[in-house]
Amino acid sequence: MSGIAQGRLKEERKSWRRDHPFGFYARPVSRGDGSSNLMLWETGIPGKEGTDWEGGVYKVMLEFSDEYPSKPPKCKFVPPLFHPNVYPSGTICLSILNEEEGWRPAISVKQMLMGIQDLLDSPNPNSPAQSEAYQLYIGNKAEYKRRVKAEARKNTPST
Amino acid sequence: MSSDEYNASDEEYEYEYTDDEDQDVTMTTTHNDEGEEEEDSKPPASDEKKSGSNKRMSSGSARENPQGAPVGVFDFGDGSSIRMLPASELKPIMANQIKEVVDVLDIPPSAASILMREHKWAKERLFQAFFDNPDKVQEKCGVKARCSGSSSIGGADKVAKTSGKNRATRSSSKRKHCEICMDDDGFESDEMICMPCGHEFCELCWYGFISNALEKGPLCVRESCPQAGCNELVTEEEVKQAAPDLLPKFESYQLRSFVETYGMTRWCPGAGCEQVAVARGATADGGGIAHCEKCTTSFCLKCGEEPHAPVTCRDLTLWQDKCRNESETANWILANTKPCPKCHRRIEKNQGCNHMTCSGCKFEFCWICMGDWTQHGANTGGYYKCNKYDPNSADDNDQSDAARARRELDRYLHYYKRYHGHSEAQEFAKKSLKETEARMVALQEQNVDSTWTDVEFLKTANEQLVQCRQVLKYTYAFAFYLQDNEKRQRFEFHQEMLEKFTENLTELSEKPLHEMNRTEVVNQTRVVDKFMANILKYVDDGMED
Repeated sequence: MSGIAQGRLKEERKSWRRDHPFGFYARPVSRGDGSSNLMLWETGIPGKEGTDWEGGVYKVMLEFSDEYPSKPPKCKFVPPLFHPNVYPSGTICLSILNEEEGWRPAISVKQMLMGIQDLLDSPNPNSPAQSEAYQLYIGNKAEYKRRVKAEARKNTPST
Repeated sequence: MSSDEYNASDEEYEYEYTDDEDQDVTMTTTHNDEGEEEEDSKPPASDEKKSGSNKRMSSGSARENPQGAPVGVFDFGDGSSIRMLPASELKPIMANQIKEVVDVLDIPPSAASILMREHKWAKERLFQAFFDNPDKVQEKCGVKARCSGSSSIGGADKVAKTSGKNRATRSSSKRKHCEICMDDDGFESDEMICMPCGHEFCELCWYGFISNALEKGPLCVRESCPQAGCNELVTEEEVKQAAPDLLPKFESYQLRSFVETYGMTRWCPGAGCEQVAVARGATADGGGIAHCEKCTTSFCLKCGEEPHAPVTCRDLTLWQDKCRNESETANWILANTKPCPKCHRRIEKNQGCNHMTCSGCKFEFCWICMGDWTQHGANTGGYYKCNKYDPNSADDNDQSDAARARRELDRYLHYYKRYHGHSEAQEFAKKSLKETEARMVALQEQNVDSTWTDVEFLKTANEQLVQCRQVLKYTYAFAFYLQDNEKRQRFEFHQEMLEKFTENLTELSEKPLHEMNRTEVVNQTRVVDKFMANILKYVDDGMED
């Protein structure tokens, strides 16, 4: 499927502009010369209302390869997020983003971002990716909650 | 949910451009637990006793048919219980199995093939589950749409109507949309290939999807629809349409999966060997030893390991796991060399026999117990007594955890040391098979009148030794798991005899050629063969006296 990555991403971009969920943003990074790099997207995922993540908008970089959409993009919180299923590098551990598991070529950028939003407040204790958030999530819920709220404050966009 | 409802809701979700189309992607961060069915397929424990019987006595066990498996599928005509076939000859066997399911369940062959695979090719089990709740089985195995009658063309039409309607509100074009490349121009109907579930994609994206799936290897046969959240499986039908040049590769993975999941077949474990062992009648779980003529490998049909009588497949796995986990400790303790008990010079064992003579001080000792050989050698009237674990050597009265752990480790090391020793001796014996040929030539030249047949006894003895070492090796894994004290004592008596005579034969056959005594070696070979048969029969008979 190589060769179609650029075309597909152009269409993803169009489709996103036409319509996207409230509070999210997603755009290819600008090269600084007026053109943009379709293979690297900067996106923002808002914490869901009514959860401890509310108020924050968390920046995720999507790094597409030439093999997209055969293979999923690499999705990374920048800076790395305090969350049981986020590696210390910021890389996200989620089945639909994993080629060996739930990735399908027809999963759209919108579906990916909403999937990551869901993950924020429903971590999976069976796939720990960082020890700090995992230990607190398992052993000290109160402290975990406090850290999540701090994370939300830290990532509140300045208006 | 009826299949109609299923299709309808599915279409809405996939083909309308609404804001909430994204909600349905199912996800987890865990891995799918594919192994959950493994336990069911295990045969009852009583079957295990039959497993791993040596070739000398295997003929009976594999022919029994306790599970009502389809006898007559393979009529070898010559009464043999296991046959080696080239992989290509398995194709008609697989096709037969599929056809039967197609006839009974009235579903397409591509779906039958998947259903059979997901039920490990146990037809009865599939039928039972299917008649119990066809929807559930089809849904779980990803063939629901394929089985629900709507051919892929029908599915395409249905979708065409829906998507055409929706598209009309968005753009004037009736051209179709591919959700993989999202190409702006769209495609004509005949440029699209449709899954039975109604999801269609353009030819180019299909080709890319399939070649990418094949790159992932054997798992490609479990690839599901490219649509997010759809679990309908991709089959040879789609491959045929989208990538006909890749069909042979896909089919070879299907065949491979068949051989690996079908209860009566096993690939020859020989390196690069493409032969398949096929059991007649009963399942491969019935045991038995297969011999591949192509690469001269012998293996247990049930577990694929080298023949391992008397230990069962299950205990062998336990034992090997244990050895892997503890091998570092064991290796550290055992290392490769031992000091001479007398002068402490480090000694490396480079022959199969346990009768060691220190090259420094000429002290003769037993490699296993490091004791004086005069306590062992038959010619000195000694007694070979180093196959038994003597728990009294450890302090039984100390009930502390540390002491218990030490005793358990001691017990394990006792068996591991001997297992390991025979394993190495087996390798020595295998290696010396080559040298034996040279020795035979030399021996023949020594004596003007002797013929090749006159020196063949050396080869026979050597081959006998390889087999004895193999059996002895596994007797220690067997004894480690043998709980019954009385039985173990009797077993260890048989083991002791076999070990003693094996050591004798090793020593006799390794003698310098000018000291070689043909009659002695021939007799000893016969005796050893008898003891080997005895110990295996003893276990096979349930270890009753």
